Amino acid sequence: MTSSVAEPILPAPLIPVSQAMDAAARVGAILMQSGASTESSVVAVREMLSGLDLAGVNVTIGGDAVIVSATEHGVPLTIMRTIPTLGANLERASMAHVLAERVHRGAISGEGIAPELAAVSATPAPYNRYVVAVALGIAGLAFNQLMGGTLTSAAVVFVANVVAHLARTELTQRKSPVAVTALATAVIATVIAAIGVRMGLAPMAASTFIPAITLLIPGFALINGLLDLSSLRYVMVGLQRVLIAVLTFLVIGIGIAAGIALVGG
Amino acid sequence: MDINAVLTNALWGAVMAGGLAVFFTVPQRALWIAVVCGGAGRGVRSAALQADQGLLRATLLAALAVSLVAVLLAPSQQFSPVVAMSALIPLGAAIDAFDVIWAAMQIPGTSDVTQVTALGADLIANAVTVAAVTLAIAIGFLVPWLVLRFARHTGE
Repeated sequence: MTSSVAEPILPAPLIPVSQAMDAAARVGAILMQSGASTESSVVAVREMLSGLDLAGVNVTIGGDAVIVSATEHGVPLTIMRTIPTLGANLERASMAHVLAERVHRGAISGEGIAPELAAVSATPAPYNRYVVAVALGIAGLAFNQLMGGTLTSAAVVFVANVVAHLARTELTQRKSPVAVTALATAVIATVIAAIGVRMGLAPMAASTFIPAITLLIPGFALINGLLDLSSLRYVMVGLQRVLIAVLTFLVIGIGIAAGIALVGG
Repeated sequence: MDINAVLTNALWGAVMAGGLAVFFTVPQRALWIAVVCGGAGRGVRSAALQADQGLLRATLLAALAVSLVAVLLAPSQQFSPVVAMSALIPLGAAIDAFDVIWAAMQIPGTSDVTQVTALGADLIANAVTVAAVTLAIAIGFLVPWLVLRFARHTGE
């Protein structure tokens, strides 16, 4: 992507091949971890390598790692960076993409890459849990309106999202397993929605229950997973992501059923 | 065309995308990009549906709109278009996804073979719709971005 502020083009960076490959692999791992598609992550890694004057380098992204391999002085060299989780952090993804693009344009020196990468990795969460909870409530409320919900059902959905998110962050802090956290979150959100239905504030419909679990919708996993599968190049990562989405849907389903049963719907 | 419905859809799409952008840690300076993209996506989708384009084509056009707006706005603010990804979530086939979940939950408690068959058929049909719509979103968002990147690199 081009940037509006022109940066000076620096002399060709002179860093060892292994360091350059490691920097590129780190960018790929950060992108995969932050919700970028595999295709765009591979493009970013190749941009980095091209900006660092490295030709003939193989880039492979699997479900758990980014692997970059080449030869240095005739000796085969492979660098691997693991992808601990497939999450979503669009600030880091954006920073990593912009960094790759700047390296590609020669706007950043070889020595300048490591501090920039460290800054990307250390970027703190920009919002606290209460701000995120309210934002999720507003997103759920808007989702409810898009699905034709009433104003009172929108209020129910808002409360469900806020409470469910606060409960989820609490469980996450207590190191609760991911599936258990997702299930508990779905149950809490559904119970609140079902109470709203019983009180006559919301209809027993998709426009109440789906927006109530907005925070659990595995949108990125499904979008990126199907994209990876359809490319026919990243089938394993695609399967992993689609499976995560399907399992999340199953957990949501069980949570909704349990929540409705708890309230006696 | 019902302009009022298109604008209402765009408004709620923008609000939803903004809320989700906070959830997905989009930086404050880039939140407006996600909001504008969310409005553009749902607005285009609503207009295309009213023009009888069908759900798949309407979703593809909407994702293209999100991607094009992101590609135009984000780089000028030193961001990657990836900050607009939260604007894609409001384009998903939510009701079909809910029906898939609902049918999957009902099948185990149903003993009547005819009912199970009907639920199974519903589940498959809705799952295919969810997958097709999601793929349309993914392709619509990624293709313009990659094409522009490729064009810029070959132009250097």
